[in-house]
Amino acid sequence: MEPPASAPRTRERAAAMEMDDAPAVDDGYAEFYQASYGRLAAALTAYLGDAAEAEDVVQEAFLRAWQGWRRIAGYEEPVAWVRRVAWNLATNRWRRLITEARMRLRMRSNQADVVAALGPDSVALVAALRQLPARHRQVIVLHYVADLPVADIAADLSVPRGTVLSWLHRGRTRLAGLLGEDESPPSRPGPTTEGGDES
Amino acid sequence: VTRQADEEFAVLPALLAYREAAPRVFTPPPVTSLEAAGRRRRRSRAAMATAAAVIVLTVSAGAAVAVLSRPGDPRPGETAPATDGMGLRYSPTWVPPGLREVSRTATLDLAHPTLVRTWTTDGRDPYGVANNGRLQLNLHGKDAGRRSGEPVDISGRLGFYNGAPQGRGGEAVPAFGPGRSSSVVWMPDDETVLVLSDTDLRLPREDMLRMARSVRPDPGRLASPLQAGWMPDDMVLTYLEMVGDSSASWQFQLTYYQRISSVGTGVGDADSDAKLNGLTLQLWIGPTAPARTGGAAITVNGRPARLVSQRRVAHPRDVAHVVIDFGLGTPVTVTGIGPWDHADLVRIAENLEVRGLPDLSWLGR
Repeated sequence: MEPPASAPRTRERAAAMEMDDAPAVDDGYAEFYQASYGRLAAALTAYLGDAAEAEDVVQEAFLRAWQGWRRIAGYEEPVAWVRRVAWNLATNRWRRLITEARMRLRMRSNQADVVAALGPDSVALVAALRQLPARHRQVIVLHYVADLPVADIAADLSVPRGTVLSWLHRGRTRLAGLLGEDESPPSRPGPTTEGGDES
Repeated sequence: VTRQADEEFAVLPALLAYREAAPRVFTPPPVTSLEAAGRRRRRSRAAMATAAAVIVLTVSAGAAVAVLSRPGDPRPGETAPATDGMGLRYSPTWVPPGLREVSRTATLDLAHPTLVRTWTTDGRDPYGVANNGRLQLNLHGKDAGRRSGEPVDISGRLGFYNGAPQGRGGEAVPAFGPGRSSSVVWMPDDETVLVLSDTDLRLPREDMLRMARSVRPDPGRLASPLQAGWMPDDMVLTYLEMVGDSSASWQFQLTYYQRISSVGTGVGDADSDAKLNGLTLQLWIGPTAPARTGGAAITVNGRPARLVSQRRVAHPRDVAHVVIDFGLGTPVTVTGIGPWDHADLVRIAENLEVRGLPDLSWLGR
């Protein structure tokens, strides 16, 4: 993300500093990147409902990992760091404002590509996921797509495990209703904003 | 047609198929192109952010202040609103044999606050799915819950039972994956929805209906023994939870979340990224403190305390605890998750009122 416009450090200088910190590509990063990219992009696509936007945040997260790879490579789970950054980017309220505007412009042109790449079943699933409250959608994706245990999700989101289970239950139930109502994708997909009844 | 309670798990094959197939669709661009792509994105984002900021500022100066606030900035504090808990409103007078109540969780930041009470068979892990089944009574506002299934009479009110599917001999039919459930949903009054749900316990229909029909109004409360006297003014009390299985093993917790996430951060480091997720604050009381041993010895209003700072390696968020001995025989802990100023945590601890121990009488019953 950008520093505020009034920050003394200019964007150009910041970018240069990042380049100075960037490691060589052959110190394990490339393998890590190749192995982790697809799963993260798939998870973020399921969450955001837009493959291009998902790839954007995943690439941004991997770029940051590359820039700090010497440090991040020493973490117990480097992919957890990247996942955290990508999800932060995806869930950032400010970004959501921009994303929604982008998606409205992008919806028609991208739909055909997404269908071709993911297949109609996945598109229907992603469209249904987008109708869940954000928290329900997030835990469904983290648990079933990103394959994170409930305890890890609870720790990651700083909520009780029971809350995660409750959100999973509600998300599954709602999803079953959405996918069971009609074989075709919902006619008016759209992300549900935070603040609804998400208990 | 009796609705199959396992319907919710019918979505798992679709999710798992997506998990297996979708990653192959995405081809990572060359590593060397990431940096160039990042620069393009940053330029684009900066332009859009500037435009969006103008819009926000035009719409409402007040809203702009809220949106532009960021964790770590000096924040004015205020007296925290009273935290007196949440009314139970309804309680069962009969519970299937062998089940013990192990948790009560209130979610308060919704239009209609909810309360979830959990019973398990062994009492040790109220959240277990694979190994420990659980029975939950959920209290919601009138708009919650899907009211469909087999119509049943619950103390004179229309309810719906959704049962686990039965085989020819009455045996339970194996479902996909873990987590078999049945439920009863009804409205005991015009403003309240109650959902009684069984996960993995495979309780018979008769027990589910008997427990639902035993529910009566209850003036009791999930009362908070902790009252924050000072809190940064953008923190919102979200959860109030009591978990345990006996008077020797329990934990009461209040969880606050920051209302607004930040707009911008520094460039590309974990500390800045963590700020995007906002701040979390937890107030705990229970026989076992959530902090590790050790830390720096401090005093809080003359009481012995310790400040423990740690970092989650897998999740780059700072965690700091202030553990205070109030002389109750059980520690009280203030936990900050995210880039908290330790002085703010100490200030919260200094202004914390401890009203004694919570009600332990229902634990494990």
